[in-house]
This record gives sequence, C-alpha cells and structure tokens, in this order.
Amino acid sequence: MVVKKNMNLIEAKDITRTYKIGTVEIHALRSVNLNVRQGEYVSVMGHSGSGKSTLMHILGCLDTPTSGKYRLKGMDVTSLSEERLATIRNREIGFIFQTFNLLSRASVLHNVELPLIYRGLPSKERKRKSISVLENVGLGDRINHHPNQLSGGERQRVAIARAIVINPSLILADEPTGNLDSKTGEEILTLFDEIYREGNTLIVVTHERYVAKRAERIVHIKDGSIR
Amino acid sequence: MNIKESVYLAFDAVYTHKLRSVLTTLGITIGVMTVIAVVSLITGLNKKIKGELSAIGSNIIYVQKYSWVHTGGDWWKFRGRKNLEIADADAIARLCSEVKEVVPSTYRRTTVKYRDKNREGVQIVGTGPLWQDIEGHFVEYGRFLTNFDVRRRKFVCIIGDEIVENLFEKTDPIGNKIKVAGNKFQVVGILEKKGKIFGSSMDNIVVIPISSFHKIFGKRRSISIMVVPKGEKEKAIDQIRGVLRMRRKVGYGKEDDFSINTQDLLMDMYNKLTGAAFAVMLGVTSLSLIIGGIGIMNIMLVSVTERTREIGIRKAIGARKKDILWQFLIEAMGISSVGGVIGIILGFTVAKVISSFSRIPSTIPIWSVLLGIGFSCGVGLFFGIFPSLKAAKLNPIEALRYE
Ligand SMILES: Nc1ncnc2c1ncn2[C@@H]1O[C@H](COP(=O)(O)OP(=O)(O)OP(=O)(O)O)[C@@H](O)[C@H]1O
Ligand SMILES: [Mg+2]
Repeated sequence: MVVKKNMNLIEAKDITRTYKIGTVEIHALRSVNLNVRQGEYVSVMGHSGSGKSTLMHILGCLDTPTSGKYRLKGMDVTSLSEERLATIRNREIGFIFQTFNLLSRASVLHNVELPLIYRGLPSKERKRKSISVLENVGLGDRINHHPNQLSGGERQRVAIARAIVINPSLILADEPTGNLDSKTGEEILTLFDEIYREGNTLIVVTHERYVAKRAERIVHIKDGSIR
Repeated sequence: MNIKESVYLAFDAVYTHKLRSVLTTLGITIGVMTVIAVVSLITGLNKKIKGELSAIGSNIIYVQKYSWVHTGGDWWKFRGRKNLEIADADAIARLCSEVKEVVPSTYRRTTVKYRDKNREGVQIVGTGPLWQDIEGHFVEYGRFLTNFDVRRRKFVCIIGDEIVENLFEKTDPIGNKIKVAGNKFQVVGILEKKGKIFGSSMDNIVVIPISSFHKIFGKRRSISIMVVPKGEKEKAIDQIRGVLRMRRKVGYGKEDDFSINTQDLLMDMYNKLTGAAFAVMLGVTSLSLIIGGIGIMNIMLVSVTERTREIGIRKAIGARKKDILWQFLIEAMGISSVGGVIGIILGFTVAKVISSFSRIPSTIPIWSVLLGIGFSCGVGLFFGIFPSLKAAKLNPIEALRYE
C-alpha cells in the first residue's frame, strides 16, 4: 500500500462503541469523526473514562466499532476478519502501552523480534533489524538483558523499539509516560519527537497537558465524543 | 509464526516449570513406561521362545497320552486313558499313507552308575534308530541305535554330554559299561552337546533301545509316538486319528482318547499368554494416558490463565489465532513428550531389572521407542486442544487488561 503525502492515513466516520453489561449500555464512543494525515503527530486528550483507550483500540484494529466506518490507508477495515486484522496489526500498527507490556521471560532482543517472527521473517534479518532499532533507542548494549533487569524508561524504550521495528504506518501510544517520572517521561517524549521527524505518523493518548502539547494537533475527547 | 519458535517456547515453558511439568506428566510417564517395559520383555521372550520352539521341530507330530496344554481338571481325564503301545505305532506306520516315519519312544528318570560314581535323575529314553533325526540331536562319537539293537533288545546306550562330564573323567566312555537302574549297558555312542530347552537340560540323557527299556522297566507306561508326515501335517493327523480311533474303539462323536501334540499347540498357548499380557498393558496404559492427558489439560488451562497477558501482548503485535493455538499445542506436546521420554527410560530400566532377576530376556525394539514418543505427543495434542483453543480465542483487549 503506497500512501501519498497529505493523504488521510486515518478516516474514522461516525464511530460508536457501545458496551452492553446486562441491560445497561455504556457508550464509550459516540459518533466520533477523526481524520489523521500521513506523517502527522496527534494527541488525544481527555479525562479518565472519556473513551481514549477505546478509540485507540479501534484505530489500532484491536477492536471493531459497534457502528461507523473506519478506513486505514484508504482501506475499509471495519468488516475485516479477525485474521486479517491481526495481519494489519502486525504490519501497520506499532503499539506502545502505559505498562510497557513486554514479555518478562524473553530477552530484550526477543521482545523486539516478536512482531517480525509473526511476520515470518528469517532469523538473521530479524536480528539485524531489531539490533539496529535497539541501538537507535540507546539500548544497543542491553539486548540480552531481561525486562526485569531494566528501569521503567528503558523498558518503555524497548516497547518503542518493538513498535518501530516493523516500520509501521501508524504508531499508537496509550499514556506512554504514565508510569514514568517526569525526567524519564521527557526522554520518551524526545524520542517521539525524533520518530515524528523521521516521517512517522503518531497518535498519543494522554490526560496530561504537557504530553499532549508536544503533538502537532490536540484532539479533545469527553464522554466519548470529540470536540 | 514458525515451528522453531513454537518449539523453543515449549521447551522454555517446560524448563521454567521443571517440577510442575514432570509431576503433570506422571500419568504419561507411567503409561509409556508400561508400554516400553511390556513390549521389550515380550519381544525378548518371543525371540527366546520361538527359538526354543523351533528346536521341537515344526513338522513333527507327537501322539501321546497327555496333552501338552491342559487345565486343572483335564489331568484326571488324561490319566484315565488307555496307554499308547508299540502296536499303535506299528499300526500308524503300516496304515497311514501320509506318514513318512514313526518313532516310538518312552521316558523315565533314574540313577545311572559308572564304577563308584553315580548320577541321579538322568533322563532315560527308550526309542529307535530314527530318534536322532526327529529330535535333531545327533551322535558325535561312535554310533546311534540300529534296528538290530531294537530287535535283539541289546543292552547298548548312547549317552549325553553331561553324563560324559560327570561319570567319565579321563576315560573314553565308548566300550565301557554303565549301570541303568542296576542293568549294565554298553556305551556305543556319545551325543553332541545340545544345551537347555525351556530350562531343562538336553544333555543329561541316556538313549537305549525301546525294547530293552520295556524289558527293564516293564510296559506300565504309555509311549510317545513321534511322527514325521510325508506332506501336509494336517492330512497325516487326520489319518493317525482315524487309525487310532478305530484301534482303540472310540465311539462315533466321542472325543479322542489320545492327544496329538504339535509345536503349533505350544505356539498358540504362548500367543494367548502374551496376548493377555498385551491386554493388561493396554488397560494400564490407556488408563494412565487418560489420567496423564487430563493432567496436561489441567496444567495447560492454568498456564493459559497465568499467561493471559502474554497472549494479549502477542495478539496486539499481530499473532493470529492459529499462531497462539500452535504455541500452546506444541507446549502441551512438549510437556507430554518429556513424560514420554522419562517413561521410555524408566520402561527400559524396569525391563532390564526384571530380566536380570528372572530368565526373561529383554530387547529394545526401535518401533516401541517411536510408539512411546508418538503416544505421548498424541496425548499432548489431544488434551492440549481445549486449552489451546481457549488461549487462541481470547479477546486481545481483555487479555491485555488482565491482572
Ligand atoms: N470491556 C468493557 N466493558 C464495559 N465497559 C467498558 C469496557 N471497556 C471500557 N469500558 C467503559 O468505556 C468507557 C471508556 O473507557 P476507556 O478505557 O476508553 O477510558 P479512558 O479514557 O482510556 O480512561 P483512562 O484514562 O482511565 O484509561 C469507560 O466508562 C469504561 O468504563
Ligand atoms: Mg485508558
């Protein structure tokens, strides 16, 4: 899929996501419209429970909307099978989570290699790519360590390496600095700036103004609606 | 995802939970151990038994008063039968066209003396010149019995290797006289060394003419009639039965009052015995494999729950359902094959220990190793399906949120 500059990478139209618990309906997202251009750095800001994570899951093809249409790179992904969505996540989406979500029993290198393993890349190429990305995030000397031997900031950098090793079309970060002190958080945000400058598309979900302000554009979300 | 990665993950999982894995697969270990032990003992026994049975001669028909194979009550029935006599043997030789050779023989254990030395419990065989061909037990020095010896009731004998060893130290036995139950017999030949069959020595033996045997021991005992058929054994047996039933006046529809024994009879009995052993093994094995399988299923369910978050992470970065499915299936097979391998090792150990305490030999057939591994992997696969499907079906978001 080749995408022209300035074309919309993301086109989300009238997205709703409703959770049903018994007879109670929770409207996590209400008719959300959002377009994100290729190479843009957008932050989604809102209070706890406003629907940020729900939105991110849908944009990242981890979840499907109850109604509405979502196009990624011009392709309608709303009605795709679970199998296809997994492949899209594997090739197009890099996730970064608040709690890092690394495999604790695997080495740093193996964690970064993982998406490439599922893609079916040969071992040599996987290693080469992963090591070079780890060097870029400043962890070239820690590749054989395990996540529990690393600090929070270092762990998040491993997660970032894992997200960018696949050359994703879209990088999604959910409260990436939420578990870090302000200095380490700042380091992560600097890394995001670099990734952005290299031409990547980033969406960062946060409830903190100083994080949101680093982006090109801030989208406010409240009670499942975008203002 | 490639197989290599799954296998690596499986062994990593087994390694991380060494004790748990070993305990879980106990059922499989026991199952595979039973298979391996029984199979290697039975195949070992098979080799030995078949070897010894072939010494009997597959084609020879033994017409006797007692059957080789009988259950408790039968013995009294056999005992009540009329003895077989030389005349019966002669009738078979005369009337059966399908019969090539007939050799009557009779046996008794008694003491044999040479000068001041004596040996108890020696098997005395009274028979004719063809005995050595039928038994496949030949004279090594000197000569065997002749028709002349039988006709003239000569007191000559051919002695086995053990008799030579025990009674004659440096003297050449041939030409010397030994005492059989007090009667002097001249040694005219020495039999080749034969070894043991079914645990009894074939060399502790003195062969004399059947006529001389009857002269010293009387005719109270029934003789055995060994028959070599011309062609098919079954045809000869039919004729022998006809002749004997007529001579012995067995009424129409009544059971034979003699037994026709062949190697097949022993083979059948042996096969029945090993068949029973196999059936018991099958029972123990399938039960323990099922128990083992349930253990694996249980531990895999625990493992899936413990690793919910890991599954969420893998799915988020693009693992498909089938990737997760195979990861857990291979892990289940990995755990159960650990049990399988331990079972194979223990099985062989048990077989070796048993064969060192008994006289049952054991061999290790390659196919039983493959069978053991196959069984354990199969059980892992089968009982791993449910937990693996559960893992594969997990919703990634819920899995990621799992604490
Ligand atoms: N699986 C679910 N079942 C039911 N309700 C849910 C589920 N997931 C989310 N919700 C509800 O949807 C709403 C939005 O949740 P979401 O996780 O998107 O909020 P958020 O903005 O990410 O909050 P936070 O900043 O605390 O992470 C909340 O009211 C939440 O309770
Ligand atoms: Mg959230």
